[in-house]
Amino acid sequence: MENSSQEELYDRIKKMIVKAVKLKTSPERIENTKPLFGPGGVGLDSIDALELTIALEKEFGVRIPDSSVGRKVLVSVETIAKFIQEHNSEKSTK
Amino acid sequence: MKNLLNKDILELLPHREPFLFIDKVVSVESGCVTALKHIKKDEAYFKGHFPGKPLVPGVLIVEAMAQASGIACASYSKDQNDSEIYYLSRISDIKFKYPVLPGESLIITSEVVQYYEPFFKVKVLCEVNGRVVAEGELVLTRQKGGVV
Repeated sequence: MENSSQEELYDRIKKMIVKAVKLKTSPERIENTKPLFGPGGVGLDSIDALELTIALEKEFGVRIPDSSVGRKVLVSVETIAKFIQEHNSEKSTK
Repeated sequence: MKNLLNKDILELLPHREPFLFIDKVVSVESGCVTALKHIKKDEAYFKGHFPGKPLVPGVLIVEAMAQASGIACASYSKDQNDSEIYYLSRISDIKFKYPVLPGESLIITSEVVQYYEPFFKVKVLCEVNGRVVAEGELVLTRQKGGVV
């Protein structure tokens, strides 16, 4: 993926996060690698993970099957982007 | 799933009087429950809410919705066991459209729309005589091992 489309994906994910969990910050302020949860992170709580799974299905058509996958995917903007890209490349090779 | 219909409400919910807000389950499918709560004319809270103009408090309608939702979540869970309890964790965009008066019966439909262990998001609808009086979304959290 080209850098510009990678950045576009990051931007879409950030906007999705802000909207889904009604975050009181602007998408631009979320760093790509900053943890979404936990101390020093973006400030999401555990119930927000549920909202993110709904938003991911709606916005990107990707489904997180269970919380064990979610714990690996819902870490940062970067890990979410990687999951979406892997899902899309799997779809295109089928 | 249908065996939930035959169960006493005291077997389906950990709540007890005076804080039991479901009388019975009317229908149930996996993750979707319709339940009934009849509001008696002499409920104690009518004395204060409001004197001379009795009205069911919105928070109690939400509580009834949450209790019906607990049953919906239990019906959704394949690995449900009796020692689990469902806590109300989030209330989203609940709208109260019409007042509920003494003697009316609430028909509450709750459907699980997303599950992400241990959380269940449900859409809830509360009707009286076929008219929607309240609706919104709740999140319930499954606590294994019962009341903490």
